Formats: sequence, structure tokens, C-alpha cells
Amino acid sequence: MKSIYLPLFRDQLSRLKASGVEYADVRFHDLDESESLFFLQGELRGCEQNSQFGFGVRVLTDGAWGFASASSLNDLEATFQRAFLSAKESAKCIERPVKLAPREPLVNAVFKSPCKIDPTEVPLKEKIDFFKSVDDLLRQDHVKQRFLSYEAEHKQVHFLDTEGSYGVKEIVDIFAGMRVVGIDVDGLSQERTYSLTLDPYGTRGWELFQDPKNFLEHAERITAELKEVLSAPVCPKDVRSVILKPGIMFLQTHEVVGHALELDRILGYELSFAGGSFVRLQDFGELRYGSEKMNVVADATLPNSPGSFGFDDDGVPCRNVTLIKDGILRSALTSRQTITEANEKAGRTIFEASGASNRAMDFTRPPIERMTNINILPGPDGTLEDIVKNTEKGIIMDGDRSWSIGSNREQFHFACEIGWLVEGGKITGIVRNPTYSSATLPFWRSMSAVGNASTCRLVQVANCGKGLPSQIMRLGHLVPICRFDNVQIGL
Amino acid sequence: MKEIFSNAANELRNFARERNIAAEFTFHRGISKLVRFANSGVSSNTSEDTFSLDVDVTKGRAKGSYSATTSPNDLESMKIALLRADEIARFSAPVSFDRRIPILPERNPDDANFDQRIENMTTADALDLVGAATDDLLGAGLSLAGMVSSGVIYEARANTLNNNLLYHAGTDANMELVITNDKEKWEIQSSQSAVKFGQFAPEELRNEFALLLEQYKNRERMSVPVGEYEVVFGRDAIANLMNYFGWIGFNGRSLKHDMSFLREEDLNKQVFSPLLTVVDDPSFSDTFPYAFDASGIERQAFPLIKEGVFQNFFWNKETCEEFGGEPTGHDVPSMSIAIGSGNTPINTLQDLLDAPREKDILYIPYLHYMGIVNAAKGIVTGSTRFGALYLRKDGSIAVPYNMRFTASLRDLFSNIKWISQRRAALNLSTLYGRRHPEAMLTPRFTCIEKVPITLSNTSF
Repeated sequence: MKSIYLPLFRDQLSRLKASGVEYADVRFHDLDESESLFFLQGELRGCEQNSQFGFGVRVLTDGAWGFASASSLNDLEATFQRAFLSAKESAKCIERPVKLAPREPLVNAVFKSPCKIDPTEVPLKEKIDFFKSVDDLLRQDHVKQRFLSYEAEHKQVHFLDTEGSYGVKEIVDIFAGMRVVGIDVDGLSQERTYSLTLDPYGTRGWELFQDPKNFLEHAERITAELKEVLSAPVCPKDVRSVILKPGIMFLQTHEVVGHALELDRILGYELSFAGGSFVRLQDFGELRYGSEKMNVVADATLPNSPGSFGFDDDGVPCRNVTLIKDGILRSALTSRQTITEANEKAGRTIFEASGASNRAMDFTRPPIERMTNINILPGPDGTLEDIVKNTEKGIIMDGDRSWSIGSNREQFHFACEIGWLVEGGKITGIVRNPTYSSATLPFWRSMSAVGNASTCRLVQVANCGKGLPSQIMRLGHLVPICRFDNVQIGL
Repeated sequence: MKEIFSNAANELRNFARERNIAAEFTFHRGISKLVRFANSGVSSNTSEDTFSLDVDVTKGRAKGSYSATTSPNDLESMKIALLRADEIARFSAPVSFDRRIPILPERNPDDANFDQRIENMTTADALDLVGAATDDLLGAGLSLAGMVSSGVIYEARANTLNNNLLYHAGTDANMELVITNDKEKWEIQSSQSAVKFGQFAPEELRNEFALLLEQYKNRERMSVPVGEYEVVFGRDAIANLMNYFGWIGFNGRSLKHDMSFLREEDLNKQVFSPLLTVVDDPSFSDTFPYAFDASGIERQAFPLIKEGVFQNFFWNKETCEEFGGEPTGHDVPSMSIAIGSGNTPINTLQDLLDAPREKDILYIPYLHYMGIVNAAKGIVTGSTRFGALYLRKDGSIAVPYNMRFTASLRDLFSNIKWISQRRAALNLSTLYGRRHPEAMLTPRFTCIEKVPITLSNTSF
């Protein structure tokens, strides 16, 4: 996994260190390949491969950051110099010098994501044949549009810094989804989707598709559910218990727990774009975020997920951090920079060490706080059947159709693909256009049931957006089925 | 850059022709700088210089694509990209319609909107602009956030059918600033887009900030009762709403896939308010326009809505290959959408505050994190952010906490009450991935009646 170019980067880092910078690092992508397939109505409409080569340099000097990237090694020294000069210029306008929390340098750290069959090595024909076989199952009279998408990525990233760190990570990610669209009794389109989920303790290569339960067998389920949605009544406007399956529970967790607990948002670093957070520094250890049933971790040590990556782009080894325990806010998604600033501002030590959440999309972007695996721990309330049995008046929802969140993550509105009404402990029928909305804290405080481990699914997120210049990030959510009471639905 | 693209295109064309490969090439070089501000200081200062080549190889009805991010001088990598695309096409699967490589016409370079001053913008320029817009307004619990982004794109298209090269180059810049109250957590925002450096007028941002700060510092805070309101939308908000028309309204592909709230039977009908006119017009240089699209089709003013009458869907090449019809010159990274101005002489925030009111109204300058609730019905939802005001009939003003609205685009744009006389470009560039600047020409204010507010916060 060693690259012949590493000495060049070491030389440049040594030069910067000799010139007195406080810190500098470089991320070098010497292998970064991706492949995507897109099928519409069973036809291969998009078949694309991509390769990237380049590096990004981050320099901290005089308490300020500078960053530069290039896709050519011809500009190596000039790019390091651009990053240095940007930091020098930035230093003319800072209120609070950046200080990095100490950490042990990485010593030849190696991370490899678990994968048996590298998807980029599988013959294209085999992939096309597989997805066509999935499409055969989707092709039914009531299905007007059939979409299948597949994306795989294989990259090797070297990390070096002026504190003597070196680490290399080799990551394979794989995403796939299917979507069926039909026309309902009012002449409007409805859809049902499924995205490839992972076994958190398994592997994530092409082998995933060899087990029908991971993808193939969901084709029949979603087409059958779509058929029922098309003739179902519209979701009523009401206040009910809402039971969220993992297909929407992951997004509920992502949007108003994960994003709300990114420490850069809490400190105001995203106010001009992604937004802030209703959480304040004084809330840590004090705020009742949710009911006592709510336990949340940021677990980047989960063996198999895009939210696990060995070490972050600060060179800090991945950790499992408790964010919320028994409903009380404990910690956040953090980096070397933000914990120092937060502790200073709070006048107490809230964060002992970086949570290793600082990640960049690719070599063209500097790292920022990103989610790892933001997981809701399973609870004592059994299976979906058990939860339904104990629900007087509710609705089960699944499938993320749209989402819209307040800028401080203080409120939200979600539209789902399918709803099942629950009356007197029994499912009484399907509804279409189910929606729900609420303020964040009252919602989580109304959490009244958390399903057991058998209800958990690891849902991958391939495109979480944040930052300027903008970045997407890949991560995961291992979430059970959960119930929340007194929620407005049908708006 | 044109010469580098041209030389690479010649090499690649010859390499492909020798191997009987039918290929299209898209070259892109993006040079980007972005100075980001948070907590009244520079929080990040980035520069990026990336070159990429996209190759599409067509074999009958099958196609293979390969993209490589590499060095502009690395012809060997580019040839490998071509061979990889050819291999993908060979093993790919055909579609049910004919694919065609366009015969690129001879076109003059499309580089009229290039400004050397923007190309050479420095961190010091960004600091000067931001200082002029905010310096004497900060302090006492107020902080600065935001960004100044500037950059250059160079793009070229070529294929193996002939030796023509379509070349586009342009500069773009954007200043988006936010003043935040650290304790109460409210935020106000203002922005300016520029295709030429001289267009920046930081004093205009300063004046708007000053007026908004006066309201936000001194007026009562309120949670607006849920219900229907007359809302004056600012240009950011109206651009955000109009942007959805490009996905689920005007887009012929969405129509064919039942994902448009506009239907063929809506054509030439009065669907919206007679006050609404929308055109895609590349003559507006502030919208970072393309003179021709990827097939070389010359782009001209393309009416979408005229005085409320729906005029046209736009059609891209692949949709026409599949469903028939003629492409309308819309294979471009961004359109040049312009919303027509009105005749109401309310052109500044001060004008709006001073105008007599028949009832209590809301001013919503900005919408955050919108989502499509139902594409076929055109129902969208979003939250207010950045500087909303509650303007009472009696002339008093309050500061509302953020609100959520959920409404159909058809209803919203049917209920327009008035539109400002003046308009300006609003920068919509997303800054994800490759640099592709985008801006929309929007009226300063658009007043819409019967907007349903469905949720109202009880604090900032």
C-alpha cells in the first residue's frame, strides 16, 4: 500500500515544519476509482467509471488554516505554498487562534474496510445481468417506472502530517437502490424504494448481492406494497403515535440528532450554510434530549459501515462515543480543533479527546465534522408486532420521500412512502402520502418504545451534504424500530 | 486553456479514429477560491485547481462513460480513459432507442463573461469586501459568518464526428454574509453575485444589514400563529421556489416520467398569476450563461411562462432520443432563468417597511432546506431563516421565530399580488464537485397571498 510519491510529500511537510508552521497535513489519493450503473425500465441508461488522482494540503500557521488541492503532482510545491500563503492571509482576520488538542501520532496505521469481492473487479456483464434479474421482479402491471442504481467505490488514501503521523486506508463502499413508481387512484405518482443495507459485522463487497435477502428479495416486497399504496386512502390529518421503521428512522436520527450534535455547527461554523444547532455548550450533561429510552452512540468502530474508517482526517483513531445516555445529552461529534475551542468557551472540560469525526469528501476539500455511525441502541420493547400490540392509536411509517429541517435542527417535516394505521393494537390498513412533523425535543422526549436488536438495520447514507465548499459524505445508521407519541401527521 | 483543450482533443480524436471508436470528450478545468468566515474570523481558506476529462463512447445503442481527474498535460491518462470508456461500451447493454453523437457546429469561443479581476481575486480582496459590508456593524454579541467564493471555469466539448471544438470559459464570484446573535441565536443574511468584480457593492449589503439589525435588536419577538398569510418573499426565497420548476415543472423528462406537476394539457393555458413571466434567457450575463449547449445548439431566449400562461417544457437530447421531439438547447450545466419584474415601486427593504399595509403581512427573505412533499402535485415544504419580519397593519414590526410552510407551487404562483420593479441576480451555485456557476435573475420582492404557515417555532 506504500506509494512511491510519499517521500515527495514528506519533503514538503518537512519544509513547512522548518518554516515554523504549527501543523500541516496532506491527504494523497493515489487510487480512487468509482463505478455507477443506472437502469431505467430495465435498460442500462448510465454506465460510468471514474478515476481521481490528487492531493490536498492543510496548513495551520499563526492560528489560522489554509488549504489547497491539485490533481497534478507537477504543481506539488506550488500547491503546498498556496496552502501556506492562504493560512498566512487568513491569520490577518481571526478572533480566536486555532489550537489542536494533543493526540498520539499515527504510526504506520493501516485500515482496510471488510470486503470479500472487490466490486470494481467484477465483470460488468455479471453486474448488468444481476440488476436485470432484479428488474424482472420489479416489472409488474401496476409499476409504471422502474429504477435501479448501483455505485461502488474503491480508494486508497495516505495521510501524513508534521507531527510524524503516517496512515493509509483502503476503503471499498457499495451502494444500491431500487425504486418503483405507480399512478394512484387520483392520477398522481407514488413510489416505494429499497436501499442496500449492511450487516454491521459482515463485509461489503459484491458478495452482498449473492445473498438474496440483502437486495433481491426486497423487489417483490416493494412492488406488492406499492400496489396497496396506489388504491389506499390518503393519510388523515391527526395526532397519533408514530412508529418508525428503519427506512425512515435512520433519517430521523440523521437529521435531528446527528446534525444537531456536530460540534462545528454548535460552535457556529456552519451558520452561513448548513445551519446551526439548538444545542448549547451548557446543555452537555444537562439537557434532556429524549425520553429515558433514548440511547445514542457515534460508533466509528462498527466493523462494517461507511461510517467506520480507521482514523479520521486529523489522524485520530476511530472511537465509539456515547452521545445520549438514558435521554440525557452527553457528547457530540468532535475534532481536535473544536474540542479545544468548546472546552475553553464553556470554561470546563466537556470533551476529553477528539471523537475522530473530522473527515473530508476527497482530496479537494478540507475535513470538517461529519457523522460516523450515529446509532440508536436497541431497547426492551420487542418486535414490531409487540410495539403495535401496545399502541392504541398510531401509524407505522417507512421510506424517506422528502425531508425538510429547521436551520437549527429544532423542528422537521418528513414525508414517507407508506403508512399503516394502527387502532387498538392492530394494523387496520395502509394509507398513502403519510407525513409527520414536530419540534425536535418534544418529539424525542415522547419516545415511548424502542425495538429490540432484531428490529435494527444498518442503513447507509451515501450523500450527506455540508460545508463550504460543499462536500458529501458517506456514513451509516444502525437503528431499531421506535415509537413516538402525540405526533402531528398528515400535514 | 483553449489551446491545451484543442491539442488534447486532436490527439484523442486521432487516437479514437485509428481504433474506430465513436467518442465524445468533455474537458473541464475549475479553479476555485473560497474564504469562509465564522465567529467573526476566517475559519477556512481554500483553493482548488482540478482538471477532468469525461469520455462517452457510443456503440450502436450502447454507451460507456469514463471520467478521469488528472493533469491537463497528461495525455496518456486521457487515452487510458478513452480505452476504458470503449471497454465499458463494449460490455454495456443497449437501450431501446437510437443514440446519436451530435455533429458539433463551428462556434466562436463562448468567453465573453470572463473577468481577469475575478480570476485574480485574493484573500485580501475578500477581506476588504467583507469589511466594507460589515465592519462597523459587529460587536456587542454579534458575529460574522459567511463566505466569499470566486473562480474560473474552462470547458470544452469535442467528438470524433468532426474537428470542431465548443469552448466556454467564465468567471464567477459570490459574497454571502450572515450576522448572528450569539446569545439569542437569530441570524440575518445578505448576498451579492458577480460575474465581474466591479459588480460588488458592499455598501448595499451594509445598508440592508443595518436596517435588519435595527429591527432584530429592538422589536418584539413572536411566534406567528399557524394559518394563512400574505407573504412578501425576498429574492432568495423566490429563487429557491422557482428552482423547483426546473426539476418538477418545466422539465420535459420529468413530464415523461410523471414527476412534473405541470402537464401537457397545461400548455398555453393560464396556469399562474398574470403577473408571472419566466424566461430562460442567455442574454442575461449575470446568470453565467452558456451561448450554446453541449450539442452546439445556440441558446436563445426560451419563454417558459408568459403573463401566467405556461409556454414550454424544455427538452434535452437524451429525452428527445427516447421520446422523439427536438432538443431545445438545454443540455447545459445551468440555465439562465429570469423572473419578470413587476410594476410595484417597492425595491428596497426600507421601501417595504415604509409601504402602507391593508393587513398584517410576513416578510420571508430566505427559505431553508426545502423538500418536495409530492412532486406530481408540486407540493413543497421549507422553513424560514435569516431575517424574517412580521409587518403589522398598524405600521408596527415584530421579529417572528422561524416558521414552516407547506404549499403547492401551483397555488403559490397563482396567488401573486405584486412584484417589485427592480431585480438582481441571485447566485445559486452549489459548490459541490466540479465548479458550475449558476444564478437566477429575480425581482427584489414578490408578494403572494394565502401562504399556509403550518408550524411556528417558539424560540430562535
